[in-house]
Formats: sequence, structure tokens, C-alpha cells
Amino acid sequence: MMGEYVAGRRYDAALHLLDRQIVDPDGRLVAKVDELELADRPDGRLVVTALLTGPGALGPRVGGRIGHWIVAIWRRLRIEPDPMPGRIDVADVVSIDSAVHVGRRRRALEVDGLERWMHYNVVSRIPGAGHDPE
Amino acid sequence: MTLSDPRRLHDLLGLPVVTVDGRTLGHVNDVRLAPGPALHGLRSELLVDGLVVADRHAGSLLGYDRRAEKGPWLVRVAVRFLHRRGGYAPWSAVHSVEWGDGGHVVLAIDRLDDRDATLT
Amino acid sequence: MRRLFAVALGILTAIGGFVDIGDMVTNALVGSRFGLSLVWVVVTGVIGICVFAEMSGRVAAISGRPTFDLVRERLGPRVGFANLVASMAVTLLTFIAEIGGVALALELASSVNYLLWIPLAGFAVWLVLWRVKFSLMENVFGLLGLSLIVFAVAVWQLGPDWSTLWNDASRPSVPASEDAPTYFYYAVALFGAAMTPYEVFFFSSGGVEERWGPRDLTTMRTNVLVGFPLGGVLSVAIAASTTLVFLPVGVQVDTLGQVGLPVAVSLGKMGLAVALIGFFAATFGAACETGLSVGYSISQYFGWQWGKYVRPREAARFHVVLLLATITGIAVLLTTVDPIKVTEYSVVFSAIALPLTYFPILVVANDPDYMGEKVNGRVANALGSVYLVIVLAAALAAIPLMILTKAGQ
Repeated sequence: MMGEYVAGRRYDAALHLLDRQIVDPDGRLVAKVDELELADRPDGRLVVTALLTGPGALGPRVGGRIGHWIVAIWRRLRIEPDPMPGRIDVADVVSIDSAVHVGRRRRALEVDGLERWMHYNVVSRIPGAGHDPE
Repeated sequence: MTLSDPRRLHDLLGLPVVTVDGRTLGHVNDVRLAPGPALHGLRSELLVDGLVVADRHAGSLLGYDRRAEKGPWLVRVAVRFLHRRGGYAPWSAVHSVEWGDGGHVVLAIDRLDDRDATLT
Repeated sequence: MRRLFAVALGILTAIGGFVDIGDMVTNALVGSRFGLSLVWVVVTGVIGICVFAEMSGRVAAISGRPTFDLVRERLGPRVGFANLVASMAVTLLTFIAEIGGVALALELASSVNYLLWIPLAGFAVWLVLWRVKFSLMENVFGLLGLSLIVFAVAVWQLGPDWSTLWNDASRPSVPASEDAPTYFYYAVALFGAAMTPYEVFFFSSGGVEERWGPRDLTTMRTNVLVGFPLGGVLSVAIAASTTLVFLPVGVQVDTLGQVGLPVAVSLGKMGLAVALIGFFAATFGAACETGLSVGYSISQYFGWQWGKYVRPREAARFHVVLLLATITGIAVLLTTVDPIKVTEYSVVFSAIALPLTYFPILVVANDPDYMGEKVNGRVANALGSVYLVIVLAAALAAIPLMILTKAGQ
């Protein structure tokens, strides 16, 4: 719950949120905060609504020709005509320190399509993929 | 509560910040967020509290312009120089925003608050 | 022995920085052409990497964040991407060279042509990265790599005039047979090699792999203070041995075989056997370090799960990167390109990657959000700033010097 935010503590979006690692409750790495989604409330206040991840969110921030290619390749690989970037609702954010901690497990957040594709189609087929590192 | 179409932070950062009479005060260097009051006793939101304004966007991520850091002297001096003018504009002082490339932020005030730029 | 294992990470990191295939040949070459007049560069490099490895190790221990996380965060995605490309170029080229180095070491031991060893060497490296526990990998290759101490023994055995050697090292000057630009080219090359970015990528990521926490700061510092100076000593020993054997006769060192000659001359077959073990362990260890660092940098830029501390299938993209890197390496080497020449080209990319890597580290080491109370003290900041300036100077000088001297001809 966001009650974990230190009372009265304020955060600077670009300094504390953007480009930080998102970590799940098991300590697993989810993604980077590639972009922040904002929206206007009817009362005139602007509010952060979600963390956006993936090439669709990162591309415009890298900018230039490279950023353009990043977005273009990403769109190619997606089936939908107008794909949405990975989205983590801000309600899932639990705390912010050197990383952004979320309250749901990586798998439940469903922002890592490439990881799952690689997992099923490549890595799982190599013997030893489930080998316990301990 | 219905919200407007979603926007991206990238379309706000770096925008020129001007007064109503068209004077440029700087550029949006960062956006200050504050947890809002808890809704329904459970979750609070991340509200935009105001804008951190600086000469330009570079060096913003170092935060040296906003914190009393004991960092390397050379870096602090360089960043202070790059952000000679600047300060803070609370959201209440924002008159209008035109998002994205070629956009700008119009403030209803004509001076930025120097003091408030430092993060507590 | 337990104690020795505790510093294995530092030793393995240092091996990749000071006695990988490129460095071994470069140090041997430098010894044969410049004597000990460039030792001061190695000493400067050792201090520099100690300063920054300690900082990045501290950041990793306190915050759990490895170095490339900091690069993207503090430089932004755009400049961070530039660093990613540059440091990947260095790291990948070095990785390819190391696989070649493993093959060369096997060739020396077996008289079977190195090209035939390449696929096996590549496969073996990949298998270790896929399957072997991180701590086992660092213990085995870190400690076996210490066999290179045989070069120090060889120097002793060759019974040199110690006062001349000391004079040579402490009063550096450009030898009569060489010119100043070439001297400084090798100075920059040696310095760049001592402080290559992948050392801090590997050291900090390795710290996270080892689950370092705030209580492990002393262990971390011991790793730094034992590993890197040891690496420096090994590279100076190699240079000293070729100084004694090759410099008087004016022969330039080009091949790995020539690097081993002083040991063979002074300690015979037994010594050479130990040196070969050292060559194999150092190149294989450096291959592991650089291979993993390729995976670490890409994953840490994009935010992917990385590391050997999770099951391979839980870090699918990371392991696919390692696989692709290995396949690329084998393919490139089979085109018969000289593995040692490959590392020369990486000097160019190093020039870009070095300042872009060390600057964010210095910044984050001062950030209380990350470090709590363990932010940099005055000494760390002073040294860090000084070295940042030196790194910048070296970066600016690297490419002009390379062009001017045709890469040290």
C-alpha cells in the first residue's frame, strides 16, 4: 500500500522514478520505468496514473533515428495495429528507494512478452534451464 | 473519477516555461510529485505538486541543484552554473499547458520560487 | 583457503582487467620494447580501478543496484544508450578475443592448431556461463589464474640487477629506440586496459550475484585491495620477464608463445607448464567475465532479469544474449582474424565508454537515497574527481594517438 511512502516526502518524477529498476516482492527484476503516464483530473490536478515499460515507451525517450527504429521494430513484432506499451498501474507501486518496488509478482504484471517468448521458445528447450543455482 | 486521455511525462519535460506576457523563465527540468490524501482509506495517488524549472534540461538527473549534497565539488559547481536561473513553480501557478513538441507551459506568476526548489 | 575464496571475485575481476589475452601480450610487448618505463601507468591504473571498484561495490552492497543501472539512471536513456553501444563493443570484442586466447593457450599445450580448438573453447565457455555456479566459477578461475605468479618467480630466477630495474621503473623515460607518441599510445592503452568498464560491470554485478549486503563492505573492500594490486603485480611481472629476456636482443613480442619464453628459459618445462595453466585460466576466466558482462550491460540497461543467481529459464533474455555472443564469437574467430588484434580495435570504443561509465558511479556514490550514510567521504570524492579528469584526458588522447602511431607500430 502506498502508506509506505514516507509521510510528507516528495519525489521528483525524472530523478526518482524515471529509468529506475522495478522490482517485485520476490526481488525479481520486472522492467525499467521507461516512461510515466499522467492524466488530468477534472479538478485541474495532474496525476501519475501508471508506469510504462518496453520499447514502445522507451523509444520516444531515446529519440532520434535510433528511438524511431526501436518503436518501429516493436510495432512490427506486435500483432495489434496500435499496440500499447507495458503498463503497471501506479496503485501497484509500494515504495520507492534505489528501485521502484511493486506489490504484485512479475508474472502477474504481464509486461514482459519478450521474456516469455524467449523462455518458452528458446531457453526452456536447452537442457539444464531449470537448474537450481544454489 | 474520469480522467483525460493519458499523457506521457516525456511530453512535459523540457518544455519552455513562460509567463502570460511571453517572457521565458526556463524549461521544465522535473516534475515534483506528492502522495495525495488517501482515497477510501486505502490508496493515495501520486499528484503533481509543481514543476522544477531550470535553464535547460541537462544535468537534471544529478539533482545537485536541488539537494544539499556533499558531492564532488567540481560537479556541483558545474551543475549550479548550468542552472543559474531557475526555481520552482507550484501547480497552482500553472495557467495552461500545451503538451508535446513545440508546446509550452504558461505560468500565472512572473517569478519562480527559489527556496522551494530544494527537496526536503 | 576459505579466506582466499572470499576474495576470488576481486581476483577474477582483476584477471580480466590486467592479464587477459590482450593485456598479457601487450605487457610482454611493452616489456620487450620499453623496459619498465611504463610501470607507473600500471600503478596509476591500479589505484584508479580500486577507487571506482570500491565505489561501485559499495553501491551494489548497500542498494543492490549494479553499475549499468546507474549509468542509465544518471545519464538518461539517450546517453546511456551511447554508453551501452560503446561498452558492449569493447566487452564483446574482448570476449571474442578471450575465446581465441583460450584456443591459443590450448594450442600451446597441445600443438593442435588453435582454429580447431575454437568451437570447443567457445562451447566450454558457454557451458560454464549456462550451468556452473557463480562462486565455483570465480573460485576455480580466479585461483588458477594466480598460477601466473610463475612470471614473478621467473624474474627472480633470471637474477636481474634489481637497482637497474628499480631505476627504470621509478625514473621513467622514453627509450632511445622509441618515440614519444608511441610511448604515450602504450601509456593510454595500458591505462585504459587497467580501468576497462567491464571490470566495474562485472565486479558490481558479481557483488549482487553474491548477495552482498551492508555487512559485506569489508569483504568487498578486501576483494578490491587484494585483487587489483595482485593483477597489477602479475602484469608488471610479465613485462619484467620480457624486459630481461627480449629487450637486450631487441626482439618484439607478438605471440602468446613468446610471452611464455622467459618462464621456459628460467624455470624449464615445469615452469612453462605452470605458465600454460595460468594462460588457460586467465583467458578462460576473462572470457567468463566479459561474456557475463555483455549480458549484464544489456539486461541492466533494459531492465531485464539477469544473473546466475536465478534459474536460467527465469532470465531467458539474459541467457539468449550470452548464447548469441558465444556463437558470434566462434563465427568471428573462425574467419581466422587474429584474436589479439581484435582487442586493439576496442581501444577506440573504450575511449567513449570510460568517462560515461565512471561519471555516474561518482554521482550515485554521493546520493543518500542510494547509499544512506555510506556516501562518499572526502577522500573518495577527491580521488574520484581526479581520476575522472585523468580518464577524460586518456579518452580524448586515445584515438588521435592510435591514428598517429598506427596503433603502436
